[in-house]
Amino acid sequence: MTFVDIAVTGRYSLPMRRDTEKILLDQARSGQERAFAQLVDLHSERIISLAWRLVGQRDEAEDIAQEAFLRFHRSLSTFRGDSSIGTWLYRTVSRLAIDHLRRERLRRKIFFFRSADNDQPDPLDLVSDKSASPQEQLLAQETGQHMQQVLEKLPPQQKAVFVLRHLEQMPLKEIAYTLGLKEGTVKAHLHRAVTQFRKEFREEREESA
Amino acid sequence: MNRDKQCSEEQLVLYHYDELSSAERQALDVHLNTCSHCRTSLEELQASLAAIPRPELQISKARKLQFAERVTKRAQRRPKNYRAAWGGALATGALVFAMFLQPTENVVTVTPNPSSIPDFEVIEMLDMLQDLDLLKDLDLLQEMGQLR
Repeated sequence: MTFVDIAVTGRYSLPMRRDTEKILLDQARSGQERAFAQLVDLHSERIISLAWRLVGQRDEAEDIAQEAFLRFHRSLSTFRGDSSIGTWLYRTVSRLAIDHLRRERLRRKIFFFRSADNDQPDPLDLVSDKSASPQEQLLAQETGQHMQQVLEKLPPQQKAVFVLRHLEQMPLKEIAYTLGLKEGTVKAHLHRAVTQFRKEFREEREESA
Repeated sequence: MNRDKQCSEEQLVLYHYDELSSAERQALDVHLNTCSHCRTSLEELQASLAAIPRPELQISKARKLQFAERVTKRAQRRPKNYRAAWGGALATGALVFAMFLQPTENVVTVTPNPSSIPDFEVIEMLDMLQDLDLLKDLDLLQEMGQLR
């Protein structure tokens, strides 16, 4: 299997960061929990953010990110470093989020009586920065809500592909590796997601016109 | 209009995201030079994709620190080999259950059969353990493909 590394954002590919990571990884392996905490601190922002983009709610995103870090902790002794820690976490959190979304869909199918309003994310979760001005918070809330509403309609894998490509700007080849899919499948998912987004935004424009 | 397979909407999406091979991209560039319909489609596509918001989640330093502390505490508490822990717990449970089923002096004794109830219970519990894994990863549901 060919391993690819997330270099698209640059933040994971900085040589200095890689060196720091390696030292921390060695220390964490030898049981130094402080080093593990530092590794979590290095990656938490991006990993929670990715989970949040995938599942739409902050608390659930933190739970998923936490599970990914716990799995990483459990794999410390076997982690070979074929891919960077960031890539490993991206992969794990994406798959956990897809599982979570599938479970949610199943739950909704089973408990069909649940009202549509309850399925909407908590608006407070969509406020991007608690320290921003009320106006900025409102704007973030509105754009985030609409984005989330459209994303909610996409099947889990399609949603993950769109989030990883459009929002995280990850190349399709890496998305295929991350999600364990064929590149052709990833392309098809992206196309369907984009078509759905265009349809929703077109309808919204027509309604407001 | 000179719309062909080269200029399907999927190709335009891949063109926008710079996901075509250089040969495919070159061929599409040539086509776009001569096809106004496809040029308009691409412009519309690019405009609609640019309009999609990119909400950012900002996490304060304090919250990041809290998160790291919480994860580290959980990692210390959690047994490293949770499968072994589950297996151990279930084996203990099965042993206790088997002890309850031991015949007493006042009860007519039945010759223990190797494939008797306690064994069946153990197998059932091992099946449950598998189910727990399935519930966690939902691989089965993925295979069913019903929820895609």
